[in-house]
Amino acid sequence: MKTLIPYPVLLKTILPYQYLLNAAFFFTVVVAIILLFVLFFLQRYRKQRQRKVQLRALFSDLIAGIAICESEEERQDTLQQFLQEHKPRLQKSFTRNILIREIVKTKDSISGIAAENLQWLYETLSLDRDSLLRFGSSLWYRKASAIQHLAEMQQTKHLVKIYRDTNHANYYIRTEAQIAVVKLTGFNGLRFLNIVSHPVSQWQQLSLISQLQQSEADAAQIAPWLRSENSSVVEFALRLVAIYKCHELYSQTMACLQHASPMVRMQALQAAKEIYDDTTLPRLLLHFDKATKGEQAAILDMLPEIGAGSGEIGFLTTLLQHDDDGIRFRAMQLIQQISPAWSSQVMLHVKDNPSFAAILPLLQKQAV
Amino acid sequence: MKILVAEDEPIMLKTISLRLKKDGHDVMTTDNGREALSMIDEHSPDLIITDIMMPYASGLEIVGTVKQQEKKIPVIVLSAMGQENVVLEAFNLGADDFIAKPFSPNELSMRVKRLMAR
Repeated sequence: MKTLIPYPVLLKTILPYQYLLNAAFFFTVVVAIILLFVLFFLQRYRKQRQRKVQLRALFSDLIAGIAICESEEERQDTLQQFLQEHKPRLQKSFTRNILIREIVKTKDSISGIAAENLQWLYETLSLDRDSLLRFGSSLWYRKASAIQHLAEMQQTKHLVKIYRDTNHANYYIRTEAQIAVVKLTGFNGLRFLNIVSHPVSQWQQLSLISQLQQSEADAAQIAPWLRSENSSVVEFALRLVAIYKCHELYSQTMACLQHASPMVRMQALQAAKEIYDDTTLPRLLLHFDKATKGEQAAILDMLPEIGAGSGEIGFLTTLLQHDDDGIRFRAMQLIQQISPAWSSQVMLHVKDNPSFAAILPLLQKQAV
Repeated sequence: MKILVAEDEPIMLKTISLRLKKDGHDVMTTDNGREALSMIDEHSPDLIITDIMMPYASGLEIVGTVKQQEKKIPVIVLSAMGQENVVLEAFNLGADDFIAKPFSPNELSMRVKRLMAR
């Protein structure tokens, strides 16, 4: 008959009692230490948050007071009143960084003399030195925020330092620096495109364009970017060609239709639509067979705008044999627009063709 | 002139309030839409300046409520750039003026004067 060893005895043989006791004590101490750390950091975080709230309230009086000043004298008086009471507080970098953040945030919402007053406050309190200290940080988020602050405060005197980071290995630092140089110098700031070797993301391209809103373009500067080895630079240059309608860059733009990058070719088509001339239509029709399906669809979409007419009916009719539904649909749509009479004949001809089964109801619906 | 300013950003609220006080107006402030609505009922301001994005009740709700109650209080709406649809909606609801951020407090002061002169 099998005898069962009682559980505690088995446990005793595997793990001695003293060992278990020591282990329990050790883990209790570890958990206690972790709890103490958590409590310590929570308390520190709470205190810091409270300090931030107090400082924000304090600075809101100063910032609002300075913002509405109407003369140099008034600005000086407002600042002196504040400094008489709170100068010692402004010695600490923690406090100064909060003030910088509050000034920058407010400047984002106001313009005119009020914005100039805030810039004056930033410069008078030498807060650019604090921003420069952060700029020198090895932590990417500190450096990126410092670049943002310097740009928002129009600190053009630090432009060279910021410009060096426009090709930084870190994405956030690089993109902030790129935005900053454009914010500080307008279109000329885009000269970083001559040296940037990292990709300029789609989002970054749109951000740069939004910064350029009031700048005038220089086509001579854009031309070399269209030949850049960095395909994202070529893509961005084509966006600029389209936005600023640089007709003088027409041939370089059309040359980009042969580019290895599909994004560049697509952007070249968009740019061509904005700066087309009499040669664009025949050139695009010649290019059509070499293009990808996406590009072919884009070409068909732009045909009405670049002057396609009855002369293109033959070409469009051949496309009704295309293997792609989208292309056939677009071709039919264009035929319908250009020549409704021919379109009805074609519809009669293809009505029993199964490859048009999905397309025809859509076209008929559109015609109605 | 009694003006109610509703804006959730404390520094902007203070800046607008100081600017209007400097012009000699009696300014009431709030940082949320719900309180703004109750202040309108309680104090009947002569003019309302409201941000669009606010907690509890938006600037649009404030415009809508004021116009629905047929109160003849002019409303100036503050909004961030690029909120075209929101601005159009505000005008449809009956807003009297609109200022896009970033804006100049001096410009706001001028617009207040112009609205009050009507």
